[in-house]
Amino acid sequence: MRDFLTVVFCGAILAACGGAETQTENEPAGTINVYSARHYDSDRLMYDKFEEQTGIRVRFREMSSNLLFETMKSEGASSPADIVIAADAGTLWKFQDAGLLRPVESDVLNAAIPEKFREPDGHWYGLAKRARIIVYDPDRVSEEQVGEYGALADEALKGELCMRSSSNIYNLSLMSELVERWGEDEAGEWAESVVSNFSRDPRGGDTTQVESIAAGECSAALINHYYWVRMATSRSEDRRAMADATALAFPETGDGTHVNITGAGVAANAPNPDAALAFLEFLTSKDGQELLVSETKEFPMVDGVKLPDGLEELPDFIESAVALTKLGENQATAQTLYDRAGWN
Amino acid sequence: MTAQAGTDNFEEKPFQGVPRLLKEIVRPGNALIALAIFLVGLPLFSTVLIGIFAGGGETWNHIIDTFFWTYLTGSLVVLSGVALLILITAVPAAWIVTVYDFPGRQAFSWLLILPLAAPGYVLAYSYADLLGVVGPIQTAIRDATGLAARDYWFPDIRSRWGCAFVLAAALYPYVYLTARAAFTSQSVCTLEAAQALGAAPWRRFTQVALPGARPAIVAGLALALMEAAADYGAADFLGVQTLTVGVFRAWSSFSDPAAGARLALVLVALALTLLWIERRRRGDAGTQASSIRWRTIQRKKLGGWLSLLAVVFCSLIFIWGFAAPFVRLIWLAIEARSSTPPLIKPLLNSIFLAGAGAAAAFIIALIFAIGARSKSRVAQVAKWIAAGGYATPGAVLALGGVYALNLLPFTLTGLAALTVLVLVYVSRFTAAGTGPLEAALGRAPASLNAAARSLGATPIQRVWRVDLPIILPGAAAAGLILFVETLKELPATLMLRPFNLDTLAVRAYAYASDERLETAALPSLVIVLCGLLPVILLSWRLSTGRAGGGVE
Amino acid sequence: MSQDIRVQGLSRRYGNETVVDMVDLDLPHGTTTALIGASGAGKSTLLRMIAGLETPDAGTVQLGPGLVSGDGIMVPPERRRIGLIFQDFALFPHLSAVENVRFGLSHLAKPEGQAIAADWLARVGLADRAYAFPHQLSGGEQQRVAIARALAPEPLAILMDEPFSGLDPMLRADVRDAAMTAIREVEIPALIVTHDSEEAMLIADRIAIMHAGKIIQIGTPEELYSAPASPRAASALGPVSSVKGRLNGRGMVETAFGAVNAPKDMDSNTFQVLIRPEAVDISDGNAARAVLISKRRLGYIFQIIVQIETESISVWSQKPVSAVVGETVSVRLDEAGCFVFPYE
Repeated sequence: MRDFLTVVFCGAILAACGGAETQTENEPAGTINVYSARHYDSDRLMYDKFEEQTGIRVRFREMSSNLLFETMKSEGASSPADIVIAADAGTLWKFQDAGLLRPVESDVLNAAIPEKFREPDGHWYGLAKRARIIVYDPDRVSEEQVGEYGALADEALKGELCMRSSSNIYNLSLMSELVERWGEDEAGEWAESVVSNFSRDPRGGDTTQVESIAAGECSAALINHYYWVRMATSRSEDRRAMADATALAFPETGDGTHVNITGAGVAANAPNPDAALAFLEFLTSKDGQELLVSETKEFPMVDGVKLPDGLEELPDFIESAVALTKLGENQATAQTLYDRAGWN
Repeated sequence: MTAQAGTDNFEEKPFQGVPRLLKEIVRPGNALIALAIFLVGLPLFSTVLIGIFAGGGETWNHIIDTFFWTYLTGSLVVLSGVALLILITAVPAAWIVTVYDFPGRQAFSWLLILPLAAPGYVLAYSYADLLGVVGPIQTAIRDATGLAARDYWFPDIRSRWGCAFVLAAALYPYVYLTARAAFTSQSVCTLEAAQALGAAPWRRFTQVALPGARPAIVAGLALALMEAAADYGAADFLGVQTLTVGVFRAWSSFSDPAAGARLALVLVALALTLLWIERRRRGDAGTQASSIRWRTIQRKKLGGWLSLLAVVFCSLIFIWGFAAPFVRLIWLAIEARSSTPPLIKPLLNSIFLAGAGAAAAFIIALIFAIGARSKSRVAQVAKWIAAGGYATPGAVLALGGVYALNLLPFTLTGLAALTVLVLVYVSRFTAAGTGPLEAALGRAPASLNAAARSLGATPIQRVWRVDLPIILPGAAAAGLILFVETLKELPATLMLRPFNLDTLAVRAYAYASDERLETAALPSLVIVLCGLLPVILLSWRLSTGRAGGGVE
Repeated sequence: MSQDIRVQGLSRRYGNETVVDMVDLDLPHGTTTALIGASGAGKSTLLRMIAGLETPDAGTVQLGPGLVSGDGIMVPPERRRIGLIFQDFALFPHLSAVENVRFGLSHLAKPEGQAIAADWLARVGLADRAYAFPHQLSGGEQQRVAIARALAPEPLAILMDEPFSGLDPMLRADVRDAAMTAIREVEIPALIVTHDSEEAMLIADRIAIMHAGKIIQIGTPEELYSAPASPRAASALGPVSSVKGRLNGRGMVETAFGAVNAPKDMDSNTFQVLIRPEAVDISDGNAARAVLISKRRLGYIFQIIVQIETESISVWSQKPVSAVVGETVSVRLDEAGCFVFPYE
């Protein structure tokens, strides 16, 4: 039956589009398959650069991390994936937890990446950093009012906050860290207070929150820094104006700013693990790092790499010391606390 | 019932106008039809079976406890909104362009079909920007009044009603087309009779035209609602929790496709109900389709402010369904010129995938269309299966495809994924091709075949010299429809596409969900442009009525 | 060259229904045979079997010396060289008039075929419409093209299935004359299926009346009209009124309207007498007295209904009748238009 199915459809497909690309099950040596949750055009340049330097061909499959996860699970041992790239440590932890990543050791990686940004056993490594910070309307609230995460719970901000949905991984990871910092009870109370300060129901993405502040719908919100940087460096005058109308606050007191990563790990069933490791190491090289963050406006992981446009203007900040592995471990708790607080 | 009885003809019945050769290919196997049925039905049936037998468990209970009512009410509110909006726009518009004459009538008559080219998710991207808090409309309100966004109320596009607003804009042409056809075919005599009996225009509309066209309108509405229920892209982008979004999430977030399949059962039931309504209504509508068409309606010329009103009404609908979102996309694409995404490859991939999907669906649709002429029971089953697939959301079928693959020892990679994806396209879109193909085959009545035979044409000559040239235009239209439908398809492509195979739809979706709407604009525009070509072609054919229709 | 068609014992069943039942029929060359009968009598099926479009269940069709259907032989229609003309014209919509006519001439070189086709179009009076497409032609013009198309390849016979009933009455006579003239010239067997008995008498040399799958009578129009073999045959060729008759002492059949000669070999006492409307004379003499029920002028004749007791008959009279409705008139039967059959 299966042969027949294949024959019927391949026949139809090939007849319709003779010679279009098809994949064979046996990969030629010197190819790696990248499963990436990113959708940046600059990533293609990055893959090309790697191929140019090593001769290893990169094939990629881009989809949301959830879909990548399901796809890999369904593929099981025969998964062609060599490497997984995902934004957010919580997501990488989920892959690790499901046994989809393998530990790898590399002196190059250990030297390039600070210890807190890599999984202790080498299941995944952070490659770029993103800060979840507070954006606010300087005309309506002062920097002190929003200078740290805890401040958002203040009654003075009633009716002033815009947030996106709590099921979003960025919010989940932040809450996971807050649980680690403050304990479950205090984090839960914080969530409830924040919800009572909402100016409207959670809606849209991080960009939407900046837009809402610029339009005067609310005065403060939580976002990842690069969304604002992209606005500030946009070709569109309107979008630059929106960034100009708002200000950023990097929490310094407490444990500093919540930092998350874009990271990658080698797939548990990688057909070509050596090449995959070489690719990981390439991503920590100067070329790899620059291409990795050029379009996303994340912070490079490695010092001394040229910052993408718009990042120089941001202040230095204190990175949180909480281990990234906690972000995944506390995720379920985080969602429960949000649900209890009524943060949709 | 034997094949023999199915193909026999009584004297006074028209002999079958099927190319004999093709029919002879089909007959040795109704088996061929049965195989096609199997392929088309596979994704749907595996979803249903999985849903029934494996869909329980913890995730399902969790979904029932937490999200089910949200999903269900979400879907119901969106569907009701879509139905309401379509009825108050498409039906009057169809009536106005059919019986009245006013400046621009001819243009509106086909301009109003154009939204068919744009998938719902593209409209959602455009409208989220247009009506968003920093969009041009709200900005203008703030500039004009000096208020801040918190000081005034503005409808939230990222809501259930917003989603209905967007989907209705994309789907009203289904009803507009069926209503217009019904008005055109029935109105000539009955309306003149009503006029002679002294009925005022409003009464002619409500008491004569509307009841007469109701079956067609309901059928069109059922089709539109099937599409609305199947939508994933728009609802997901606007953050609206619907059943289809839930099916997708059960798989992608809860890692429990079986729970998704059980959720999908609700959708399948909903879709089949709509399908049943559509079929029944179409049967009713069929009784009046026989009226003679070559009497064109004497359109009443509207004067003064009535004419202005008609122009404004039609313009508003056109702006809503097409002009506003389309222009905004162009604006966004121009604004984003610095980050123009590379589109050649996704475009080629789209064409490749849509071509493969359309080709496969076309073949199956052709088998069904030819088989349908034999009126055998197998062919009737085929029709229903195809319609069932058409009514079922792509996400649900993709889920079934994944399961079918797992039953066979396959993984979701490479050729196997491509095969399943094409299978899902076939399952989803075959029905969209059978209708036009049946119509095309109907253009070659049996007597033509007999005439060709009596003139000494061999079977191959008959196919080559008679059947093909006659059915080709219709078949090309069917192929084009299939191609565009496949090109616009999002959820199944998202779930099943193989490596390095990003389509335009997938890229647009990825950019949009990355909050880079301005980058999503260009691939979205290209999708719309790809769809425009066949839609304009079709609408031109429909609007010019009998053009080229020699054998009627 | 010219050949006859001979049909013997031809039968066709659909399921349990016998549509054509053991039909024998000769179609000599140079003669036109009309096949008349009610809907469902099996006319079209018989025609289609002769053409080869349907396979008989039993019986044979001979074309000249050769068997084309029966005894295990089934020559497909494309090899029979039998021309067909249909009610719906069946022109190829994608071909112009001249291309339609040339369709059956594909074995000839193009210029030659073109010349023959043009000649045939001229013969049916369409020389100036050669390049029009079917949808640009009127119904009458379309049927002329169809006739030219059928005759151009020099068929061995021509079969027409209700060829003129799709045309409106004004055009009908013109097209019919053109068709029959063209067909007579080529001296081939012609069969025309029609439900119009006047048309049959007008154009056919012989008429076959079909009922329930059988040919119940065949002969010249004159034979059939003046000597029908059965009540059904009598009514097939024109209107008749039916009255009851009884054998009287002088060997005549007595009806309310007068006596007619009894058929010779008939041992029945009660009869059905069918009276053609023109076989009744309304006069003054010592004939039967009938009540005038209605009278109407239909062009050059008067249609009159007269009644005696419970029986009424229809009368066509060329002379005006002076009596008014309700008055009594004398009625006399003309033996030639009265047919006596045993009462059924």
